[in-house]
Amino acid sequence: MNKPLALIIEDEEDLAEIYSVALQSGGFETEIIRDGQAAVERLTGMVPEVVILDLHLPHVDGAHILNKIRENELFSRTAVMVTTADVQLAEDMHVQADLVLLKPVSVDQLRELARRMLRR
Amino acid sequence: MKEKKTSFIARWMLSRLEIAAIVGIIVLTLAGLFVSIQDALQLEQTLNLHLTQTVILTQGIVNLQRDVQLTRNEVSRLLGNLDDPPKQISRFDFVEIQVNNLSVQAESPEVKIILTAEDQALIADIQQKSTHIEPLIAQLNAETSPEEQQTTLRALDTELESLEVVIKQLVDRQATAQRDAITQTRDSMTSSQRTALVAGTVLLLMGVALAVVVRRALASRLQRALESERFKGQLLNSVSHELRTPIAAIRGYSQLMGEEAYGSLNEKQKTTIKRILINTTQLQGMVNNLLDRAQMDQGKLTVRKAPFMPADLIETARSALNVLAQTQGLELTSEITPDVPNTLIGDELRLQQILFNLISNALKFTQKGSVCARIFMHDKTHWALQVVDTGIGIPTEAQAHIFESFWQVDSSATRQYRGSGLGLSIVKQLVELMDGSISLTSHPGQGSTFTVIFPLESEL
Repeated sequence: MNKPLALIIEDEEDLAEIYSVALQSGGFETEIIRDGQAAVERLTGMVPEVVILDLHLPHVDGAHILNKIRENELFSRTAVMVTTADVQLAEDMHVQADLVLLKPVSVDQLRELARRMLRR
Repeated sequence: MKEKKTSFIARWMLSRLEIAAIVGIIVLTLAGLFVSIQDALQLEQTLNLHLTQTVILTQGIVNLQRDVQLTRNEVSRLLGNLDDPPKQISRFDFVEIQVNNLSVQAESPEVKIILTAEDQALIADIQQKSTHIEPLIAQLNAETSPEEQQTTLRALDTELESLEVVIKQLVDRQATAQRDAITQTRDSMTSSQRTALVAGTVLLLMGVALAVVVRRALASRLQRALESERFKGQLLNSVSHELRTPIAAIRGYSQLMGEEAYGSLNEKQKTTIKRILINTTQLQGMVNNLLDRAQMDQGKLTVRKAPFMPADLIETARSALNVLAQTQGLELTSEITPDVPNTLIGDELRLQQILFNLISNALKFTQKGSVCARIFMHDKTHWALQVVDTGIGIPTEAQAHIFESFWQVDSSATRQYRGSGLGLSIVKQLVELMDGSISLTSHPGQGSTFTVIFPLESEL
């Protein structure tokens, strides 16, 4: 059975690496994208089970990507976990995202919550 | 929030006071100006009347003077040509008329006011002297010899000259009086009324200038305040991001290393990684609380209600702190009683903050045993969030202060239990922001239980 795919959209190199390793140890296959525009393009060719989405991204912001995902029927089963340090932005995302995590996000937190998302 | 509100009210009241002061100054200035103008106008009116009467009187006297002069000319001509009759002094009729006019005018109340005793004496003298002339005129008209006529004419001339002298005195006096009246009007206006008028105008201008200055000052102060608030907000967001991201990286890497995701570790390395993790988690907690507090002081904290799953809430907080609990050798458990609905309504992020702070606090003050996070129905209309620990507990006398900012049970304890002393005060503020209430039961040496109760909302 294929491992579930987690797409990590995060411009901070360290955080992307940590999320990736954490999710891999949690049984996910992972892919990292660190640019908003690249993420929009990548999402035309894949349907991940889980998207870990940062809001502050170069070129295209996370809110726009979230909109794109929610508009597309293809992603109806994709869980989006938004991560941000900006409480105000987090508040705005709350309705569209499956889960909003205030940074810093811990390894356990990410791994366990991503697994919970899969079970839905 | 309260401080914020108080300072806002203070600013609001201050600005109202300033406006009231400006309005007061303007009203007083206008009132002062109105009174001074009224006074000035009244005085000027009186002086104008005075002046008018003086002019009329002077005109009458000048007319009399002119007619006396013409009569004297007639007398002189007759004296130079005695052979040529008629020996009538026709002009004297006019003199009589002018003297009568003068007498009437002198008796009128308006003129009487402006006449001094000397003026009145002179006018009486004129009347007196004119009566001396009349018999001489009659004598002249009688059939007399040229010598007698010449004698009469000379006597007449002397009388007229004498009359002329008195008239001239009166004319001079009236000219002076007229000049005095003008001067008086001007002087009076200058000394009192003009001063009031000028002062009033200056006050009005000052009031207007002050209003403009104060308005500008208020506008620029408001502008500065807005810019400063905006700047603080931007700074806060940027600091928030810049502080939280590296902490997250340190914490994440140390946890992954502790899990041997990057290769196996010896016991010393594992212990060291645990110490890094504990210290980073403490740092993270402090930074979070300071940033939350700063955001609260900015008045940026708002509550948004949306449906959320209690299971997500409790799992988010538990999973974030589980590694810390494990590192401390503590058990971190969670429980949701079956009577709790699958979906609740509230601000999930704020609830996360509350739960995170309560669990962090419990872990900090618990050396052995467990920490349990629970969600249960308090009654039919309220749900509750509870964190129970088996820690050192809080002395009864300290329980009243536990929710105050920067307060810790024993300040000497801060070396053992690090922290900003902000966590619980933030929790209390957040709880109250969401219409909830927080309570504490604690027994020193046995542990503490924090219970937060929120109203159950079924619909948005």
